[in-house]
Amino acid sequence: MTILGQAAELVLSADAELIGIVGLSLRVSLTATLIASLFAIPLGAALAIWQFPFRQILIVISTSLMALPPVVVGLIIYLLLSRAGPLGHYGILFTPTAMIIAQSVLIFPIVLALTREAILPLNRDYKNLLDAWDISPIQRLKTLIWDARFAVVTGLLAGFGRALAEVGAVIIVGGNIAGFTRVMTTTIALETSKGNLQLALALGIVLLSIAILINALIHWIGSFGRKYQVTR
Amino acid sequence: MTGLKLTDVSYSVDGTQLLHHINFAQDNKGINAILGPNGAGKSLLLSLIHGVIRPDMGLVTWDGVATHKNKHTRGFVFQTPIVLRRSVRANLAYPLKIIGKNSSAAIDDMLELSHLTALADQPAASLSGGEAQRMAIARALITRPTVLLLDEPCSNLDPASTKLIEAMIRTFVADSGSVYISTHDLAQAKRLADVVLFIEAGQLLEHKPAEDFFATPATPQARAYLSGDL
Amino acid sequence: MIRIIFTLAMLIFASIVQAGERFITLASTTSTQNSGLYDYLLPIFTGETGIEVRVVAVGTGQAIKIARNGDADVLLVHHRPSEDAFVELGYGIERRDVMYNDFVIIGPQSDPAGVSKQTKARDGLAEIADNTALFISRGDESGTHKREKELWALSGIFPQSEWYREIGAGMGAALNMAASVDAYTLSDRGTWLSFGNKGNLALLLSGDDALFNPYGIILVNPALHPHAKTDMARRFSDWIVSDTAQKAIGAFTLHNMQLFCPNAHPMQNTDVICPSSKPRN
Ligand SMILES: Nc1ncnc2c1ncn2[C@@H]1O[C@H](COP(=O)(O)OP(=O)(O)OP(=O)(O)O)[C@@H](O)[C@H]1O
Ligand SMILES: [Mg+2]
Repeated sequence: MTILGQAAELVLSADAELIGIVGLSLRVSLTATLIASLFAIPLGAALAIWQFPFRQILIVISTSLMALPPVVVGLIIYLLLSRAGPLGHYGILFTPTAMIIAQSVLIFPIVLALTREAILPLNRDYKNLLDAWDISPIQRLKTLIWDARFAVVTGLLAGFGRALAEVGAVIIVGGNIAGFTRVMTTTIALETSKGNLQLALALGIVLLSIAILINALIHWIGSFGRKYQVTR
Repeated sequence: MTGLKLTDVSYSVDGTQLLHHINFAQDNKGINAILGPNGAGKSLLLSLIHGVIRPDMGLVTWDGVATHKNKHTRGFVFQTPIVLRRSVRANLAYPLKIIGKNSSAAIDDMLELSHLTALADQPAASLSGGEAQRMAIARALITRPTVLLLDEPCSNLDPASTKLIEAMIRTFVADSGSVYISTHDLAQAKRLADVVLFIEAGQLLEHKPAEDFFATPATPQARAYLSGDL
Repeated sequence: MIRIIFTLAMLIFASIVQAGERFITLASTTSTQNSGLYDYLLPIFTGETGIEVRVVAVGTGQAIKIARNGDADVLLVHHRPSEDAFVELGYGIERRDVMYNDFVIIGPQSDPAGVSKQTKARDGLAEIADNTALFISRGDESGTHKREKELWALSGIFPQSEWYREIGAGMGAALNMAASVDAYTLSDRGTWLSFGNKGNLALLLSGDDALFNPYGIILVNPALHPHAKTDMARRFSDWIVSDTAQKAIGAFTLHNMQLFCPNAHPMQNTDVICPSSKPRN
């Protein structure tokens, strides 16, 4: 039997365990994306709009954070959340919450950088116009984010894709507990370690399909947004 | 203390002084034309008196209040129209939202007035140059300001649109608004202007009633400009 | 847009309000997890007690660290010296024998080093070293890795040359690598039997006393970690050495092979158990 066939069978059989795993993957990564975006989008926009102290340093740091290996992020979060660590008394190590935290940290610099890139050219267009009105900083932020929303959402989806595909951090802080913190990537790692390469690859194909879906979405949103772009 | 007052206003970028010690006062009434050759500083002056940019020296006040504190009482139109990446209607709605109003009736009226009703739901970015300029003027008028600042509002417009804009300006002034307009169309300036501010190389050289300026320009620069030699 | 944000907010909420408190965290080893033993055993316990057992399966060394930090409530591992040290240092209490299986030496079917002709593990390893045949070591301080180092010490060889490869990974990764480069390795029997990518590999040596692989259960010391769910953990510990659980362990098979021999009470349960108290082939 071919691997593709097995992947298709996996999806079609839609057994409860697989659905649970895919569901948890999506839930953890979506939540992490949302949390990261909540902070990264306004901050990224602010970095594009205003000059303020430490701005350059912030940009350099956040760009460098993009190169941080997920395992390192996982390890840091692990040490923080461990009972022996400073945040230990919350007892959230080896829970989906810990995975969400780790992925939020991973995604944050990506969404931040892509938001900044999305807002920069728009701000060049808008700056004078907005300066001609009595407009609060919050209103300015909201206007620029809203009018760059297609590009911002693209960055958001890029972050989501990274979160979904990531294994190093979630396996450390989640513990890959069956039915509780087991997501697609950690299942793939586990099945590979069990020598079930076919199953692992089939799961990989399921993950790939989700990734393709996301990218199709990015593309579609992008082409939709271009309609409102200034071309002159 | 009513009207606009500039006290010793200078503006420079990267050490290059672009406007030099401008001083003048002007009541809130009528149409004031800002004239001068390319690069004289007309756009900069308009931006300064509205508070889009801040002078690095001197003071700009409207009715005694620093200019950046009461922008909502004025409408501003840039030389090259800047459109929000939204529909035409949403472009008109935006300044209303800033001042906390929301009137679709006002927007419909303004679309009608500026002949943009058919384009209301188009993305503003797809408008032609002239249409965008009409929209920018409509967007400046929609908050019912008392002062209108227009930077070459008719430079992109066909004769019919120019006529339309001039009519809108006249109506605005008739409703006791005042207007500052820069233009290179001397015929237009003669048609509209009550007062002329003539600037050249960042200096305010003449500030006087329009008839006087056109009949007897005092400076050689103004004479050269009017005769097309500057 | 607002609806999307709302939905996502609900998701956050849902993930913060985690399931009930009726669970314990068990730090254990990949060897037990990968064999499928827990998938078979734990539902029985949960069915009886309503207590969910969340298994974090890592190497023995890492599992002990997790327990020492208080990130688990109970520990089930397979390296007696480390287990005893864990209790002695006050990190754990109430260690009990649970079961055993054995380690086996795996290698290419062709067996170029002639390991299968030996009966003692240390002699098998010596042949590998003499023939400079490739050997994959897990190098991850797991129970298996620790045992492997002890076996090398027994053989009097300090493996260090090019043929000896420490990969710093789990049992499955080591077996995957051995399969792809025709190398020898030491595995626990459970992981070997359940491993799905055997390729040209075969079981070459087993049955030596030195390969005996006992598993023990230890509670995390509540005096050190007051948050530890000691009561529920103790119920689990009591349960796993009970007749029910011990019989269940003895009855667990993979590919018709018994994987673990219960030995909580070696004298009592002679009816269930393995043919002898020693590891079998
Ligand atoms: N940001 C800037 N940096 C440097 N120089 C500038 C800047 N803005 C304007 N200038 C210069 O200041 C001078 C006046 O510019 P301004 O736009 O006010 O001219 P203008 O009178 O409006 O000309 P036009 O009739 O062509 O619109 C020009 O020489 C211009 O190059
Ligand atoms: Mg200009």
